[in-house]
Amino acid sequence: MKPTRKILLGLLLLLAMQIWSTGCVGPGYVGADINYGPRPWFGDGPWLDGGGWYGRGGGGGRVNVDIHPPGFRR
Amino acid sequence: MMFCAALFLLAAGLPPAARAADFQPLTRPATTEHRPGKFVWADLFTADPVAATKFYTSLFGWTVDLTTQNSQVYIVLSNQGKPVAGLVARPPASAKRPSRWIGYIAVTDLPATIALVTKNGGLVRAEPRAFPDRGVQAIVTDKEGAAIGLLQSTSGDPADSEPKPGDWNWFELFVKQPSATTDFYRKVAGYEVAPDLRSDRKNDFFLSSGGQARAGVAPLPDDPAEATPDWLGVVRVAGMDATLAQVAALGGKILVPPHAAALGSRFAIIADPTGGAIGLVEYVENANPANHP
Repeated sequence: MKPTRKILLGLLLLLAMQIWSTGCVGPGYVGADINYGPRPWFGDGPWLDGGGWYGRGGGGGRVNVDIHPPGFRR
Repeated sequence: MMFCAALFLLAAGLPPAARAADFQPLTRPATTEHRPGKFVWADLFTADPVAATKFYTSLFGWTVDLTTQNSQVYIVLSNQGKPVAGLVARPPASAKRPSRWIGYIAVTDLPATIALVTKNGGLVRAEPRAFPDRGVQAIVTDKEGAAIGLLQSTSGDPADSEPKPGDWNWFELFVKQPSATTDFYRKVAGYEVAPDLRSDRKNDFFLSSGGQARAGVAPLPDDPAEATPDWLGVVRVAGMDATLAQVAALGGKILVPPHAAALGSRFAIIADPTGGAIGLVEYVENANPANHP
């Protein structure tokens, strides 16, 4: 890896760590609340976790979904 | 705050042209037209907004606007200049939890809708809150626990039109008891409910409003047993194979490989590097049902 690329990656890592530690990107980095706009909106919790079950079973990994663009009238 | 916004842009490898702004209205210019039941927005709640932003901007070509209010940042993702989604950070305590997309449906009377949610067995997860230029919104879970947002826009709701690549194309709800759950949405959001006559399962339904099919409801698979009720947002892509090749390169996963779906389309499900699941659809043939009288 070229030295310049290493330096760049290191810089990006430092920036990411600073963002994480200061919370300046982070709505929600205060306590366990989700901040959405100027102040906390609601409390985080397991209910907000993504399911991620797709593909684990359910017919060999297939999910039967019909895809209907707008324009489909019923 | 601008310094923090600049840090975010650098970390995400985004051009400095991304700007700080207020919340963006759903429609610009504002209208008085409302389309209750239409999916008008989606937010990704993630503990790693930098990684998620990198992924979606690279995959879909979405662009970024940073909304800053009182030193808090909300990331707006736009497709071809049209805001389509938001990105909200979860707290550090949730760092290892998988991200979740939540779609928002348009409502015209949020307090009344909230009352119907609780009356019919749902829970209010995020109380109604007014956001400047956006409107009033809340997040609830239905009687099976699937999360859905409710948004009463102050600028009207977007018109119904064929989605472009990079737009939301469809939302599908997977639940244990589709029939009972569709009844919840009929009572809460006023949807018309109709069975999907093309399905070989008698448990698939459409939710419609304003003469438009807005979403589908399908049964969860029996296996795996831990499958949890969930809404799945589906984005249209121009080329499925090229998009899926990018997914792997960007650190995402293909959860369900592409396969033929309705009306000559191809469908797949992926997860972003932070665990957020999203569907992809490609119109292989002329998949616009409006052209299929």
